Amino acid sequence: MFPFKPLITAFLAIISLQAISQNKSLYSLQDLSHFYYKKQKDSLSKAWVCPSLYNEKKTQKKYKEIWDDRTSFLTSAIDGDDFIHDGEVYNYVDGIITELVKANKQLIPEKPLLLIDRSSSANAYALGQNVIVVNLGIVAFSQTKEELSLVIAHELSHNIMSHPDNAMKQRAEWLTSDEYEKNLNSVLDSKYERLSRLKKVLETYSFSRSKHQRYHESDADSMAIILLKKSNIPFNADYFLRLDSSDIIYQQHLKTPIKNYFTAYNLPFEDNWTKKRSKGLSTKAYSFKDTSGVEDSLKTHPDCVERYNKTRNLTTSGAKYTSIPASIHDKAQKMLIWNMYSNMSLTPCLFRILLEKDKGNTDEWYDFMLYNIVTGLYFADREMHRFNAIGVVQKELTSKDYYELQTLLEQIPREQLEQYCKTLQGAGFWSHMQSSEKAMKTLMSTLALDPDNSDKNKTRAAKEFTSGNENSMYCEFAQMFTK
Amino acid sequence: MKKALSAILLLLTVCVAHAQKKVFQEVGEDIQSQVKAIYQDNSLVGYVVFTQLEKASADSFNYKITIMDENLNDIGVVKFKENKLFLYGVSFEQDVLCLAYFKSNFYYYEFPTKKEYKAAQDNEKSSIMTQFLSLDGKIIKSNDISVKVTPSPYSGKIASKTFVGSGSLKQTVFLHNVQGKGFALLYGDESTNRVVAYNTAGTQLFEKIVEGESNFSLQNLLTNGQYIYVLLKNHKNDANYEVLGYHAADPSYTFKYLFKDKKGNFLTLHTFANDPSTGNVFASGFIVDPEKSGSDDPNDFAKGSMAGIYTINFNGPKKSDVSEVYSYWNDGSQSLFNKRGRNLESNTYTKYRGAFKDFQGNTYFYGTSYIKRAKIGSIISTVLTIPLLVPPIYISAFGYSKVKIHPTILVKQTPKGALSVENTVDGDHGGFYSSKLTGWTFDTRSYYYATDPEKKNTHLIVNDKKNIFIYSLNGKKVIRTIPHKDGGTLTYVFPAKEGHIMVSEYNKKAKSTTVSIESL
Repeated sequence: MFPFKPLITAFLAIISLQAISQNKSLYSLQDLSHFYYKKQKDSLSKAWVCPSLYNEKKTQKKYKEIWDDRTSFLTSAIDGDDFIHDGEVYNYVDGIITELVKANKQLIPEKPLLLIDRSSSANAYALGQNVIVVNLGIVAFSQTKEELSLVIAHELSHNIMSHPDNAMKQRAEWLTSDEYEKNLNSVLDSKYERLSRLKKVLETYSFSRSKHQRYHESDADSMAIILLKKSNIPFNADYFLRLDSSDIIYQQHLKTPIKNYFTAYNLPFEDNWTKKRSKGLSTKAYSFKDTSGVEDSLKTHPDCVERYNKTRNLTTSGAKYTSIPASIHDKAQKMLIWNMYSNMSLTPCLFRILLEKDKGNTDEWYDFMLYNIVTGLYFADREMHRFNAIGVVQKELTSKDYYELQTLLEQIPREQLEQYCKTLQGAGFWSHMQSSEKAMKTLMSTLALDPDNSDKNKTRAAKEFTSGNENSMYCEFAQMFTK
Repeated sequence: MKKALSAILLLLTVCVAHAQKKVFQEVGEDIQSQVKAIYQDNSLVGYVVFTQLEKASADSFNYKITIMDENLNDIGVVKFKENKLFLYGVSFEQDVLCLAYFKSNFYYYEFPTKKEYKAAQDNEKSSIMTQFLSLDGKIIKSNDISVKVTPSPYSGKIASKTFVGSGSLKQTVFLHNVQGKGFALLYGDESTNRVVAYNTAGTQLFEKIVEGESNFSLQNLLTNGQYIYVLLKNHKNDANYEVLGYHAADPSYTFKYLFKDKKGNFLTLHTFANDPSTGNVFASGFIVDPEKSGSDDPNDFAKGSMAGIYTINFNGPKKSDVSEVYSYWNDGSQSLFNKRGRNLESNTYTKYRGAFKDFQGNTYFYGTSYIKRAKIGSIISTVLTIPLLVPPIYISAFGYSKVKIHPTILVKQTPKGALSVENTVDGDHGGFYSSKLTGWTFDTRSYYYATDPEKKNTHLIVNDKKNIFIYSLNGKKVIRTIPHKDGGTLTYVFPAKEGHIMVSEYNKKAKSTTVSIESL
């Protein structure tokens, strides 16, 4: 028996290594909402029956329309894999909800259904019917458990105060009101400026709605603080100020010139690739009045500064804050990046990777994703979708570094991109990658570099991937070619 | 929170649209849009979407101009009120956008009664309006030049309960930037044709009457530095073109060139463009053989109706600067072609559809080649049925020759006039067609070219029946083949910023169109 011991140890070690590497996977394909919530979706569709609230037939009809639209909004989001139910991130967020519910049983008699949205936007929302949705973006953005708890408590408060349901009722009532009908008809009575008049009718409603919404937001803030206090979770008003910067991730600067991130992989780099060579208007100093922003009167949320000022004296003094575990942050960030990649939003995806590198993150998964981005871009170029894959935006909306990165992806010559793909294929990080990631490498190589660019070949390669990696999260990407 | 808001707003819009469909439909009827590319020195630098929003008064409308950069990103909006406008062109120079419109208080209006129609006709005022916009959204200046328009025979006729002022300018309107100076405008109405130059502040530099030979039409407007070139086509003879020259800073300068070779042959014109290397204007086309020119069909063409091809280079301000390059094949001087223009290597004929210049001064003529064969069956049938009288007449009606499409041919003409086949671009294949019945319709290809000054390369885009072929002159090969139909997606390509094409994909299932600016 003795001579076999090392062999058994080695065998066990291989098995455990396999187990470890499987655990390292962010999530499985079956965690995507159209798999995971399949049954809930069906039962939810049946359970969400519009209550009969109005004697007026047309108001009840309109209310039902709005109600049903909300149901289909949720079910189609489930079908579209907008949500994910992984183990770690979900349980962490759900744990906060459990804590809040436990301490506030009178206000929240039943624990709400939590959905984790894969969106990168630092946001959360309440859908009514005891459902709240938390975006991966807010999980990645929040630094402490208390910050995330505030966001969740705020959304729970909306549900407690029936804000989503009341908003639907108000809408149904307004759309079927005599006043609305009168206003609309007056548009046709006028010979001139009909569009302006119609816009005014709709804006009047939006303005009044937004004003109410602002009150609702303030109410939700106040109640959220109560929920937190009862749960012994410290509140810090500073978070409202930090939320102000949540949308400016792409206006951040990188720590080193873009060139350095690429030469670190032994990829040749020319500075002129990042300098816009176009003669077009994008390079000119235009300064048209910005009309894209939301008018202050139409904003649904009070300014973060206003929220801060209103609540700062409620900040828990001398509180100790609990950092969100690094593993949760890391996972949320990776899931975001993968989701962006699946949607072929390559520039924001790559920029986030470079920001991770700036933080000193040496996780080789990000190297793997850089390979995917480079091959993905080359593949998009081959398919004549490079422009959309880059997602070209104006220089005014991003930092100089982001714009240079975007320009690089736009202008790097095709031949160099091919060279990048080939060089990265031979990079050292691959030896530490899991089998599914190595299979992705093969799939991407076929898509981008195989001389046979036929759909048949792409489908074959994708099927080959999915057959060996049925549960892999990367199947979501491969399935685009098998369908 | 924002997502929920967007969803709710979307719901609101949908609900409202259902509830008050009539209101939205009627308001929507007044909204009309035109999309135009913005050009500077023949390069596409952006786009404008010009939208008529609503009727603002009895004779004016509210308009919105959305300005987009070359990547289709919105960069600004300008709103204004005016009479009825039709946008002809947009040009850019020194951070100023110039837009040229046809403006009227009568044409394109709808009147509810004949009386109102008549009253408006009596007060009719139409003009060419040039509008100058700065990049901070200010309208720097607007100019109006009065024009005379004759109502069309359909004007005033009832069109769905209304009387419409119908009519249009006699000639089209051209607008081009003048490097370092401003803009040149070319237009023609019932009484006159004029070329007008403006600086970037919108101040008129000069206005000149375009004096062509006789009964001419305005064909094109180009500039090279501060020189302005106007191309006219004289309708007295089908192949008589002329170029008139002006100078933005020197109103006294004039230049006139009539297209005719030294033998007195007329010239057809297929390209009037700028040399990408020097900016000089050049023109290219066929030399017509007057003795053999008959009807314009593949049969006559194969009989040698064209004597050769030419390039005329307008290398400077004087007539002596013009260099004419004529390459005749009807005199037997070309080893590549027989006297009828048949390519001796491929045994094909090519009706060149256009030409472009490379960065070394050579001209490349491109067009679809075709072969011509006798319809042996028809000839035999005719011979056999001669005694029956009627059948041979019937057979002869379909002709005795047939044509078949062959690859696109690119013929290089050196500055000295030597011709050589640069390359062939294999396209979609087709069968034989009766040349008598189909004329040139068997040639389903359309062409345009895109110059990339940075890489000093030119791409020829061949839009064929089933595929789009992109040929690289430097690469000497087709670098991309894009099928028009791939599954449920229909693909088309359009010109875009330098070195790029705009790819438009229509998804039949989703009924949606996506556009993308792709590198060549």
